[in-house]
Amino acid sequence: MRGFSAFALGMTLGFVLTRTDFCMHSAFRDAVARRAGPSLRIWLVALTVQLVVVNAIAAFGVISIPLPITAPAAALVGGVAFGIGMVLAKG
Amino acid sequence: MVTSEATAFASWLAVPVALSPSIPEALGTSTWLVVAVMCATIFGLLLAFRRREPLDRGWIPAGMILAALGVATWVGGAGAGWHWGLSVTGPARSLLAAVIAVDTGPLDWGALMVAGIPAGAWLAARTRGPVTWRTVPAPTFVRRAFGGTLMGIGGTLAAGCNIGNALTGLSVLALSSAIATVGMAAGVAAAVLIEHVGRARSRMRLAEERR
Repeated sequence: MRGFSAFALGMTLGFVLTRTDFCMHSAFRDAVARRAGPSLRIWLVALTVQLVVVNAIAAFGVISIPLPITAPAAALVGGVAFGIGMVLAKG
Repeated sequence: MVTSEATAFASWLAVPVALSPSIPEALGTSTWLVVAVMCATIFGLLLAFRRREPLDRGWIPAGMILAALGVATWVGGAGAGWHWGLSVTGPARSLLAAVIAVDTGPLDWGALMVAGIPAGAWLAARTRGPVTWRTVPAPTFVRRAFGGTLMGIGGTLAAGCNIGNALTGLSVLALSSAIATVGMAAGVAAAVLIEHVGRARSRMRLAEERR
Protein backbone atom coordinates (compact mmCIF):
# COMPACT_ATOMS: atom_id res chain seq x y z
CA MET A 1 0.00 0.00 0.00
CA ARG A 2 2.84 2.36 0.93
CA GLY A 3 4.62 1.33 -2.22
CA PHE A 4 1.53 2.27 -4.17
CA SER A 5 1.48 5.75 -2.62
CA ALA A 6 5.14 6.17 -3.61
CA PHE A 7 4.48 5.12 -7.20
CA ALA A 8 1.39 7.37 -7.41
CA LEU A 9 3.39 10.33 -6.09
CA GLY A 10 6.17 9.71 -8.59
CA MET A 11 3.62 9.44 -11.38
CA THR A 12 2.07 12.76 -10.38
CA LEU A 13 5.55 14.29 -10.34
CA GLY A 14 6.31 12.94 -13.82
CA PHE A 15 2.97 14.26 -15.08
CA VAL A 16 3.52 17.72 -13.58
CA LEU A 17 7.15 17.96 -14.78
CA THR A 18 6.10 17.11 -18.33
CA ARG A 19 3.10 19.44 -18.43
CA THR A 20 4.89 22.41 -16.85
CA ASP A 21 8.12 21.86 -18.82
CA PHE A 22 10.00 22.31 -15.56
CA CYS A 23 13.63 21.37 -15.86
CA MET A 24 16.49 21.94 -13.42
CA HIS A 25 18.93 22.10 -16.34
CA SER A 26 17.00 25.06 -17.79
CA ALA A 27 16.73 26.63 -14.33
CA PHE A 28 20.50 26.51 -13.83
CA ARG A 29 21.20 27.74 -17.36
CA ASP A 30 18.76 30.61 -16.80
CA ALA A 31 20.49 31.52 -13.56
CA VAL A 32 23.96 31.37 -15.11
CA ALA A 33 22.87 33.44 -18.13
CA ARG A 34 20.89 35.85 -15.88
CA ARG A 35 17.69 35.08 -17.73
CA ALA A 36 14.39 35.04 -15.89
CA GLY A 37 12.99 31.90 -17.55
CA PRO A 38 9.99 29.89 -16.34
CA SER A 39 12.04 26.95 -14.95
CA LEU A 40 14.12 29.28 -12.76
CA ARG A 41 10.95 30.91 -11.46
CA ILE A 42 9.25 27.54 -10.78
CA TRP A 43 12.32 26.39 -8.85
CA LEU A 44 12.43 29.59 -6.76
CA VAL A 45 8.70 29.39 -5.94
CA ALA A 46 8.97 25.71 -4.96
CA LEU A 47 12.07 26.44 -2.87
CA THR A 48 10.36 29.28 -0.97
CA VAL A 49 7.19 27.30 -0.24
CA GLN A 50 9.23 24.29 0.92
CA LEU A 51 11.51 26.49 3.06
CA VAL A 52 8.47 27.63 5.02
CA VAL A 53 6.30 24.51 5.04
CA VAL A 54 8.92 21.78 5.52
CA ASN A 55 10.72 23.65 8.31
CA ALA A 56 7.38 24.43 9.95
CA ILE A 57 6.12 20.84 9.98
CA ALA A 58 9.54 19.74 11.23
CA ALA A 59 9.30 22.28 14.06
CA PHE A 60 5.88 20.80 14.96
CA GLY A 61 7.41 17.32 15.00
CA VAL A 62 5.42 15.97 12.03
CA ILE A 63 8.62 14.92 10.30
CA SER A 64 12.23 14.59 11.35
CA ILE A 65 15.00 15.91 9.11
CA PRO A 66 18.23 13.94 9.19
CA LEU A 67 20.78 16.29 7.64
CA PRO A 68 23.63 14.72 5.68
CA ILE A 69 27.13 15.22 7.12
CA THR A 70 29.15 18.01 5.55
CA ALA A 71 31.87 16.73 3.21
CA PRO A 72 32.67 19.97 1.35
CA ALA A 73 35.17 18.53 -1.14
CA ALA A 74 32.85 15.70 -2.23
CA ALA A 75 29.86 18.06 -2.41
CA LEU A 76 31.77 20.61 -4.50
CA VAL A 77 33.52 18.17 -6.86
CA GLY A 78 30.35 16.09 -7.22
CA GLY A 79 28.31 19.23 -7.85
CA VAL A 80 30.67 20.48 -10.56
CA ALA A 81 30.73 17.04 -12.26
CA PHE A 82 26.94 16.90 -12.08
CA GLY A 83 26.64 20.40 -13.53
CA ILE A 84 28.87 19.57 -16.51
CA GLY A 85 26.99 16.28 -16.99
CA MET A 86 23.67 18.12 -16.92
CA VAL A 87 24.68 20.36 -19.83
CA LEU A 88 26.08 17.43 -21.86
CA ALA A 89 23.03 15.24 -21.24
CA LYS A 90 20.60 18.17 -21.49
CA GLY A 91 18.77 16.98 -18.39
CA MET B 1 33.79 -3.07 -10.63
CA VAL B 2 35.20 0.18 -9.38
CA THR B 3 38.96 0.15 -9.06
CA SER B 4 40.44 0.55 -5.59
CA GLU B 5 42.11 3.83 -6.64
CA ALA B 6 38.75 5.36 -7.54
CA THR B 7 37.28 4.13 -4.28
CA ALA B 8 40.20 5.59 -2.35
CA PHE B 9 39.82 8.93 -4.16
CA ALA B 10 36.09 9.02 -3.46
CA SER B 11 36.55 8.30 0.23
CA TRP B 12 39.36 10.87 0.40
CA LEU B 13 36.98 13.45 -1.08
CA ALA B 14 34.16 12.38 1.18
CA VAL B 15 36.03 13.11 4.41
CA PRO B 16 33.61 15.09 6.58
CA VAL B 17 34.77 18.27 8.27
CA ALA B 18 34.01 19.44 11.77
CA LEU B 19 31.26 21.74 10.56
CA SER B 20 27.62 21.53 11.52
CA PRO B 21 25.48 19.91 8.79
CA SER B 22 23.00 22.75 9.07
CA ILE B 23 23.47 26.26 7.64
CA PRO B 24 21.91 28.13 10.60
CA GLU B 25 23.97 26.11 13.11
CA ALA B 26 27.19 26.72 11.16
CA LEU B 27 26.37 30.44 11.10
CA GLY B 28 25.31 30.43 14.74
CA THR B 29 21.83 31.79 14.05
CA SER B 30 18.29 30.44 14.16
CA THR B 31 16.61 28.39 11.44
CA TRP B 32 13.84 30.94 11.04
CA LEU B 33 16.21 33.84 10.51
CA VAL B 34 17.91 31.99 7.64
CA VAL B 35 14.51 30.96 6.22
CA ALA B 36 13.28 34.56 6.41
CA VAL B 37 16.39 35.97 4.72
CA MET B 38 16.26 33.36 1.94
CA CYS B 39 12.52 33.85 1.35
CA ALA B 40 12.89 37.65 1.28
CA THR B 41 15.78 37.39 -1.21
CA ILE B 42 13.83 35.05 -3.48
CA PHE B 43 10.73 37.22 -3.24
CA GLY B 44 12.73 40.27 -4.26
CA LEU B 45 14.29 38.37 -7.16
CA LEU B 46 10.91 37.16 -8.42
CA LEU B 47 9.46 40.69 -8.24
CA ALA B 48 12.45 42.00 -10.22
CA PHE B 49 11.98 39.19 -12.77
CA ARG B 50 8.33 40.09 -13.21
CA ARG B 51 9.10 43.73 -13.75
CA ARG B 52 11.90 42.99 -16.21
CA GLU B 53 10.28 40.22 -18.18
CA PRO B 54 6.53 39.65 -17.91
CA LEU B 55 5.74 35.97 -18.31
CA ASP B 56 2.58 33.91 -18.36
CA ARG B 57 1.63 33.37 -14.68
CA GLY B 58 1.69 29.56 -15.01
CA TRP B 59 4.99 29.39 -13.12
CA ILE B 60 3.37 30.36 -9.81
CA PRO B 61 0.96 27.39 -9.56
CA ALA B 62 3.61 25.13 -11.11
CA GLY B 63 6.08 25.99 -8.35
CA MET B 64 3.40 25.52 -5.71
CA ILE B 65 2.38 22.11 -7.05
CA LEU B 66 6.04 21.05 -7.11
CA ALA B 67 6.44 22.21 -3.50
CA ALA B 68 3.23 20.38 -2.50
CA LEU B 69 4.65 17.19 -4.00
CA GLY B 70 7.86 17.79 -2.07
CA VAL B 71 5.95 18.16 1.20
CA ALA B 72 3.84 15.10 0.36
CA THR B 73 7.07 13.14 -0.13
CA TRP B 74 8.35 14.20 3.30
CA VAL B 75 5.06 13.32 5.00
CA GLY B 76 4.11 10.27 2.92
CA GLY B 77 7.54 8.70 2.96
CA ALA B 78 8.17 9.17 6.70
CA GLY B 79 5.94 6.24 7.64
CA ALA B 80 7.82 4.01 5.23
CA GLY B 81 11.24 5.02 6.52
CA TRP B 82 11.90 7.60 3.81
CA HIS B 83 13.22 10.63 5.70
CA TRP B 84 13.92 13.05 2.87
CA GLY B 85 11.93 15.02 0.30
CA LEU B 86 12.00 14.70 -3.47
CA SER B 87 15.17 13.04 -4.63
CA VAL B 88 16.25 11.01 -7.62
CA THR B 89 19.90 9.91 -7.33
CA GLY B 90 19.66 7.79 -4.17
CA PRO B 91 16.43 6.02 -5.15
CA ALA B 92 17.69 5.51 -8.72
CA ARG B 93 20.67 3.66 -7.25
CA SER B 94 18.38 1.47 -5.19
CA LEU B 95 16.25 0.81 -8.27
CA LEU B 96 19.27 -0.06 -10.40
CA ALA B 97 20.62 -2.38 -7.72
CA ALA B 98 17.28 -4.18 -7.63
CA VAL B 99 17.18 -4.47 -11.44
CA ILE B 100 20.68 -5.91 -11.74
CA ALA B 101 19.96 -8.15 -8.75
CA VAL B 102 22.57 -6.82 -6.38
CA ASP B 103 21.42 -7.61 -2.88
CA THR B 104 21.20 -4.21 -1.23
CA GLY B 105 18.09 -4.84 0.78
CA PRO B 106 14.48 -4.20 -0.15
CA LEU B 107 13.47 -1.56 -2.65
CA ASP B 108 12.96 1.65 -0.69
CA TRP B 109 9.99 4.01 -0.81
CA GLY B 110 11.95 6.54 -2.87
CA ALA B 111 12.82 3.94 -5.51
CA LEU B 112 9.13 3.26 -6.13
CA MET B 113 8.53 7.00 -6.31
CA VAL B 114 11.25 7.38 -8.95
CA ALA B 115 9.81 4.43 -10.88
CA GLY B 116 6.54 6.35 -11.12
CA ILE B 117 8.11 9.42 -12.79
CA PRO B 118 8.45 8.03 -16.34
CA ALA B 119 4.97 6.52 -16.06
CA GLY B 120 3.51 9.93 -15.22
CA ALA B 121 5.56 11.63 -17.92
CA TRP B 122 4.27 9.11 -20.45
CA LEU B 123 0.68 9.68 -19.32
CA ALA B 124 1.08 13.47 -19.62
CA ALA B 125 2.42 13.08 -23.16
CA ARG B 126 -0.04 10.37 -24.21
CA THR B 127 -3.10 12.38 -23.16
CA ARG B 128 -1.91 15.14 -25.49
CA GLY B 129 -1.31 12.93 -28.51
CA PRO B 130 0.47 9.84 -29.76
CA VAL B 131 3.82 8.97 -28.20
CA THR B 132 6.64 7.45 -30.21
CA TRP B 133 10.19 6.36 -29.43
CA ARG B 134 12.80 8.63 -30.90
CA THR B 135 16.46 8.04 -31.52
CA VAL B 136 19.08 10.75 -31.61
CA PRO B 137 22.06 10.92 -33.99
CA ALA B 138 25.03 8.85 -32.79
CA PRO B 139 27.23 11.82 -31.70
CA THR B 140 24.34 13.21 -29.65
CA PHE B 141 23.78 9.80 -28.10
CA VAL B 142 27.43 9.55 -27.04
CA ARG B 143 27.34 13.09 -25.66
CA ARG B 144 24.21 12.40 -23.65
CA ALA B 145 25.45 9.06 -22.38
CA PHE B 146 28.71 10.69 -21.26
CA GLY B 147 26.75 13.48 -19.60
CA GLY B 148 24.53 10.93 -17.89
CA THR B 149 27.58 9.10 -16.56
CA LEU B 150 28.99 12.37 -15.18
CA MET B 151 25.62 13.03 -13.56
CA GLY B 152 25.70 9.59 -11.95
CA ILE B 153 29.22 10.03 -10.60
CA GLY B 154 28.61 13.62 -9.54
CA GLY B 155 25.25 12.86 -7.97
CA THR B 156 26.76 9.98 -5.99
CA LEU B 157 29.72 12.06 -4.76
CA ALA B 158 27.57 15.05 -3.86
CA ALA B 159 24.95 12.78 -2.27
CA GLY B 160 22.19 14.05 -4.50
CA CYS B 161 21.12 15.43 -7.83
CA ASN B 162 19.73 18.82 -8.79
CA ILE B 163 16.33 18.02 -7.20
CA GLY B 164 17.71 16.30 -4.09
CA ASN B 165 20.23 19.05 -3.36
CA ALA B 166 19.09 22.28 -5.00
CA LEU B 167 15.43 21.87 -4.04
CA THR B 168 15.05 19.45 -1.12
CA GLY B 169 18.42 19.84 0.61
CA LEU B 170 18.51 23.60 0.26
CA SER B 171 14.97 23.95 1.65
CA VAL B 172 15.99 22.10 4.83
CA LEU B 173 19.13 24.26 5.04
CA ALA B 174 21.64 21.44 4.62
CA LEU B 175 25.14 22.91 4.31
CA SER B 176 26.36 20.12 2.00
CA SER B 177 23.40 20.78 -0.34
CA ALA B 178 24.25 24.47 -0.49
CA ILE B 179 27.86 23.61 -1.41
CA ALA B 180 26.68 21.09 -4.02
CA THR B 181 24.27 23.66 -5.48
CA VAL B 182 27.08 26.20 -5.86
CA GLY B 183 29.18 23.43 -7.49
CA MET B 184 26.39 22.57 -9.93
CA ALA B 185 25.98 26.21 -10.95
CA ALA B 186 29.76 26.42 -11.49
CA GLY B 187 29.72 23.18 -13.53
CA VAL B 188 26.84 24.42 -15.69
CA ALA B 189 28.58 27.77 -16.20
CA ALA B 190 31.84 26.07 -17.22
CA ALA B 191 30.12 23.67 -19.62
CA VAL B 192 28.01 26.44 -21.20
CA LEU B 193 31.14 28.56 -21.67
CA ILE B 194 33.00 25.67 -23.34
CA GLU B 195 29.94 25.05 -25.54
CA HIS B 196 29.88 28.69 -26.68
CA VAL B 197 33.62 28.74 -27.40
CA GLY B 198 33.31 25.49 -29.38
CA ARG B 199 30.38 26.84 -31.39
CA ALA B 200 32.14 30.13 -32.13
CA ARG B 201 35.23 28.20 -33.31
CA SER B 202 33.28 25.97 -35.68
CA ARG B 203 31.46 29.02 -37.04
CA MET B 204 34.80 30.71 -37.71
CA ARG B 205 36.10 27.55 -39.39
CA LEU B 206 33.02 27.38 -41.63
CA ALA B 207 33.42 31.04 -42.57
CA GLU B 208 37.07 30.49 -43.46
CA GLU B 209 36.26 27.46 -45.60
CA ARG B 210 33.69 29.45 -47.53
CA ARG B 211 36.15 32.19 -48.26
